[in-house]
Amino acid sequence: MKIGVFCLVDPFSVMDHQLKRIKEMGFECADVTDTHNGASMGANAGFVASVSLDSNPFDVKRMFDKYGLEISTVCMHGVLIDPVSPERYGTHEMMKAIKMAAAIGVKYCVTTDQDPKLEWTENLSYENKVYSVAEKLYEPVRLAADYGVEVLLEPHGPLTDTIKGMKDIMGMLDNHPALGINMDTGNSWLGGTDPVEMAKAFKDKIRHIHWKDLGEEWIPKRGTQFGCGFSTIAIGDGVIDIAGVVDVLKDCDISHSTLEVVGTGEILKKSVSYLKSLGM
Amino acid sequence: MEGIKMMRLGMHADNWRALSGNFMAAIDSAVKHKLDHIEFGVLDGQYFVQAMGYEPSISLKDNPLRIRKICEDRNLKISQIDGAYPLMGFDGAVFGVQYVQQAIRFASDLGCPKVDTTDSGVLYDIPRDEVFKQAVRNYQECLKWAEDYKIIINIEPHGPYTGDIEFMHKLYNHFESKYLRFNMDTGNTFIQGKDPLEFLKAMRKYVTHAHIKDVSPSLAAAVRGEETGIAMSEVGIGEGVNADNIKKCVEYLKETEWDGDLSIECYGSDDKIEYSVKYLRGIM
Repeated sequence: MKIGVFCLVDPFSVMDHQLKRIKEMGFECADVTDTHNGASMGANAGFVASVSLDSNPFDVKRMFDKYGLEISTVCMHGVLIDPVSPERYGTHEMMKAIKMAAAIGVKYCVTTDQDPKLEWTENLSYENKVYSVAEKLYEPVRLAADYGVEVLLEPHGPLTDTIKGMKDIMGMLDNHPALGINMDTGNSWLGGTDPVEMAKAFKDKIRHIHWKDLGEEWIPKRGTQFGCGFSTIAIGDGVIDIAGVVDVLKDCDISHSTLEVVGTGEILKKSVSYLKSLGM
Repeated sequence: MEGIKMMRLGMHADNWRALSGNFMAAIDSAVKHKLDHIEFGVLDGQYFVQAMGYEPSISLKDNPLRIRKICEDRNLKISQIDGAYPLMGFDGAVFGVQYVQQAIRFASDLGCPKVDTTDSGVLYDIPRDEVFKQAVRNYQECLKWAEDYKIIINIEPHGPYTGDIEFMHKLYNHFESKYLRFNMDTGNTFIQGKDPLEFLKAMRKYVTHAHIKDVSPSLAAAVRGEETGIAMSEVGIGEGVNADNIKKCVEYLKETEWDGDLSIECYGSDDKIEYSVKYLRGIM
């Protein structure tokens, strides 16, 4: 399994800068981490590393090729639990991301439910929340199947951070073969689930892994916060049973994984060394 | 058959626009008349009339692989999609370029090799060389996508710039790209007051696709030499005053061993389509 890193290693900089840094640190792959519809003022002005879903996919590939980096996944994290709105990343954006990934030979696109932003959503029944997420995934999953791409659901919300929630969403989509899972060690733990148990439960559905470890200061937040963007400590330095997750998944046919860690190059290198020492 | 130049016959789904017909009506007719291909327009976004089934275009938001399967299941090729937002002026830069770029992406997923573009009937209120510069800028941005996706951008004569042979030759010479080619239109060149055969001869080197439109006597009398393009012919191909020119153009394409697609553009009623198909098959 190749261990890459997300394209947000340095804040307030563009994709080219991220990819240059990633290459300098010795990585061979990275994901398209931030994507947006249309134009982004920050990306155009040079301080946001986000890719427009309306841009030429081959330009995106050329950015990675310039540094000899492979694209592991295209991220398309929606707020799928909340209702549809033009301001909210959802079905339309995911369908664009899938087409972009397919054009440049990227096999996986990652999405999630996220924490509800609206009180209305919070007050929905569990069943309606599951429906809300599944309904927004229905067309993208069908499209992905046509294009030979897989949509990966990531633990990053009150439903996907639980084994039951993940199973129920996937079940509502008939356990479609174009729907898999992107394991996230930090998010599943933060949401209150044992990541090792989640890895065991979905061993045959996990296609990619986001590695995060979290320190003791996160323990009080466990079960109350759903998803965190990154960790600030090296993998192996925190309280999450990374070794247990590796033990479950190291023999699986997973080609790439991604460090979601910010900090110095040393922290990233230490994270890679730790994962390799576990047999990854 | 490999090595043998040949013409293929199809039609534009826009023939159903005046009938408030939808894409599937055009497909069914193409199958019924055993045509080789279909061509259709694309919408950037949603249009309620189309969504309700009264308009034959396809939204760029649709799943192109679904459309491709519909055609493949019926042994129909998609010869070209029509993304003909007027592309020469500033409005082309603001609205047209991104529309054509997304149409190129869509065409690639459809397995369709060509996207049609044009100008419009509008003569811009700026010098002709400024229009040329703007056209170069606009096509340059579209060609970046075309080259990546290996899709041909055709330009159709439908206005004061695309109907100007000198302007067009200058544009083709500027790019010298195999991805920038020409979609002949017998009806538009005729309505501009030109001799379609002479126009075709001048552009032959670049022609990959052709719209075949006849023109009724009344329309010719009313607007020939005044307008620069018409959407379709209300008469069947061979029924109008442009029939002889169409015959000469097809003969010339045969003589010059042209390998390309002819698209019928006429009113989509069954009798007009049947007449047009029979006429064209008789001269192809």
